[in-house]
Formats: sequence, structure tokens, C-alpha cells
Amino acid sequence: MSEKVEKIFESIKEKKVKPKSRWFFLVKDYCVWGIFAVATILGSLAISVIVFVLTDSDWDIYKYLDKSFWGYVLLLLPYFWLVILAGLAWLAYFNYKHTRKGYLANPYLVVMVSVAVSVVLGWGLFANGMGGKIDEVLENNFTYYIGAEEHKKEIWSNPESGLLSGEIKEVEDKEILLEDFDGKEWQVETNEAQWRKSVSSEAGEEVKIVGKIEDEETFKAQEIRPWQGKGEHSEDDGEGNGGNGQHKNKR
Amino acid sequence: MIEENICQEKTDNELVKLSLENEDYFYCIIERYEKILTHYIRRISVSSIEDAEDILQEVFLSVYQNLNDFDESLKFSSWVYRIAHNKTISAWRKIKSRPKTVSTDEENNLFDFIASDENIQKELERKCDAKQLRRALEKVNEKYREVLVLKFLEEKDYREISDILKKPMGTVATLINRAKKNLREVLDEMEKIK
Repeated sequence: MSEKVEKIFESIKEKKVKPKSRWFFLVKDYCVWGIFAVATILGSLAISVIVFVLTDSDWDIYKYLDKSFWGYVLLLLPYFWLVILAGLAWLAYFNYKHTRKGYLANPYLVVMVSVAVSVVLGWGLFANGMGGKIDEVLENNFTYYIGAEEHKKEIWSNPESGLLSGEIKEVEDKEILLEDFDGKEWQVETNEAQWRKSVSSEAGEEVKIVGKIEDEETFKAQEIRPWQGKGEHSEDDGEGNGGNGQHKNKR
Repeated sequence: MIEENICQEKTDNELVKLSLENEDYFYCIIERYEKILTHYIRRISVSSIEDAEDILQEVFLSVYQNLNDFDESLKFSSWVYRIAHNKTISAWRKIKSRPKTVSTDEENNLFDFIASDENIQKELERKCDAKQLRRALEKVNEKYREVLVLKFLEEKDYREISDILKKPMGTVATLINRAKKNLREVLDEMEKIK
């Protein structure tokens, strides 16, 4: 009988240690998998907001802002959510790695699968309006969070560049009275404007207008879009933006 | 106390189950792995026998406390080696001692094992003896030394090394290749100085 073996065995006995229970390890495993799942689900919420921000953006107006397409893309990217997504992907990977067999998997594959699952779930959540709701709740409750709405207002409050937005106050035959988001009133000439289908052109409606500033209070509209989304093009789109511009369904 | 012949009859997995029911059976596990792990601990890290024994005690304590965590899809020896590896590395960091490599007899073994491996055989035969190899191993990066010891001294296969170091098998293969390359570079350097 080896003295060394005896010594080790006796020291374990003296310390009166007992094997940790099976439950301890099971709970630990469930926690690790749970955090992996939570990270993936939170990632899907981040994806739903990213998709909302990207689909709610007007990708054709970069020329009005003196930017290249890619410069405009950089302006629109929701960096906050991309950072959150990257953090969650890392968290998912870190936890997966700490599962029993986690070390056998390729780390890049784990991150890709986690992000892919988040994308699928996130798209589903976006389709159910979750992306917009999250963005709105955060914007209303956190001072430092700049939501898609605020960002959009910034982009569409550039009358000198041809981008104006606000709430319709009055609708007349060939013009509308619009109050922009800074509270300033504008006479918007609409006689040559093209109206997107989903614009109802009623007082109280919020709209985005592409056009040209005429003077300090007058703006000549070329195209009127709904504030939310892009709205479909009207049926007379083929006639081009410079057509007679009447919103035929409404006017 | 359990009789030695009873210990020998049991497989590792049987001993784990029996130890959970009766701690006396853990004696068999200690007896089976004491020498192997002492060598392994000394090979990858500390210089003195006393330090190695302290670490070994911690290793067996940890093995006993975590018996319920043993996953039977692994080889028990891989699991024990993994605990020994982790304990050794953390103890080594605590005492901040410079890692030493293998003893003289083991150097010869390591030399034979590595030399018998593929392309570097002739190069090693031409360039170094056991003494040189010892000096070379001292200069080899720590992470490479670990895989060299596991592959060539402990004679573990890729799957076992992967389970012990908790690294994917592809990474283990890459590490072994790099370790050999690193060893060759160190030997070249030593040759130039000579």
C-alpha cells in the first residue's frame, strides 16, 4: 500500500468533503444553456428592431443629403443594436463553449447558428410589429436612446435639401398647410406632387415630403409619402414625379 | 479499506459509481492514477516533487468533489487529466515558477517519441541529443509544450487531447503541427548559436 496514496486518501477523509450533488451540476448545465437561449432570444429582439429601422428607412433619398449611397447606408445603420447583437452573439458563444461538449464545436459556427436563429425569430417578431414597439418604448423611456423615429425626423427636417416632414393641418385644392416637427408652419404646393398610395391626405396625418424650398414658408412638393413606412407608389407612377401630381383617389 | 485485487477488477466507471456510494472505493481511483498524474503534473509544470504532491492532492480532492459531474461519454482518464491540467496551470500561475520540463529519463523517451514522428525524425537525429532537447523544450511556448507532452509522453490520441485541453480536434492537430515547427525552430536557433 503506497504511503502517498494513503496520505492523499486520508487527507480527503479528514476534510470530510462529499461529492457535490448531481443536481448541482444539472442546475449549472441548465443555467449555461438557459443563458445561451436567452442571449439568442434577446438577439432576435435586436434583429427585429434592426429590420424595423432598415425597412422603415427611405433608401432613395441619399442624393438630397449630398451623400453617396454607401455614405447614407453608414448614416442609417442602427449601430446601437448592432453592438447589442454582437454582444449577445458573444454571450451565446461564451455560454455554448461552457456546455459539456461546447469545446468540440467550431466557435464561428456557433456564433453563425446563434445569429441565424436570431434572424429567423427576429424577422417573425418584426412581422408582428415587435421591432417598432421596442424602438418606441425605448425612445419614450430612455433619454439617451435615439430611436428610428427621432433619427428619421432629423433626416426629414432638411427643407433646404428638399426633405420636409410634419403633420398636415389643413388640406386645400392645390396646397396643404403643414406643421413641421419643430412647430414651424409651411405652405406646401401640391399641384405637381405625386402622392404615395397609403397617404390619406387628411388633417392630422403625418407625412414626409420630397421637394424644393421656395421661400421661408413655402415648399414645392414633388412627392408625398406617409410618415410610417414608404407607402406604395400610386398607379400613375409611370408618368413620373413631374406628372400632374394630383392625389387622384383623395382629391 | 478496499482490497487491492478488488480495485484491479473494477473499471474506472465502476469505481466512480462505487465511490459515490462508498468513499473507500475512491482509494482505488487514487491508487490507479497517482503515479500517472504525478508524472504528468511534473512534465507540464513544476520542478519539485513536493509541489507536484500538493497539486496532486488538490486534483484528487477536486475529482472526488466533482464525481457527479463525470460525463460517461468521456474516458475517465481524460476527465482526470483535464482536472489535473487545470489545477496544475492554476497552481503554476500562483507560484509563478518558471516551468520546467522533463527529467533525464523522460527526455530520452520524449526524444524517441518525437523523433519517430514523420518528417522531423532525420532532422532531430542530426541536430540534437536529449540534453539539447531538454533545453529546447524549455524554450518552446507553453501551449505547445502541453500538447507535446500529451501526444508524445502521455501517448494520448487526438480525441483525448481534445477532451483534456477542451479544444476542438482540429485545433489540437494544428497545435501539434505548430508545436513540432516551434520545436524545430528552437533547435535551429540552438544549432546556429553552437
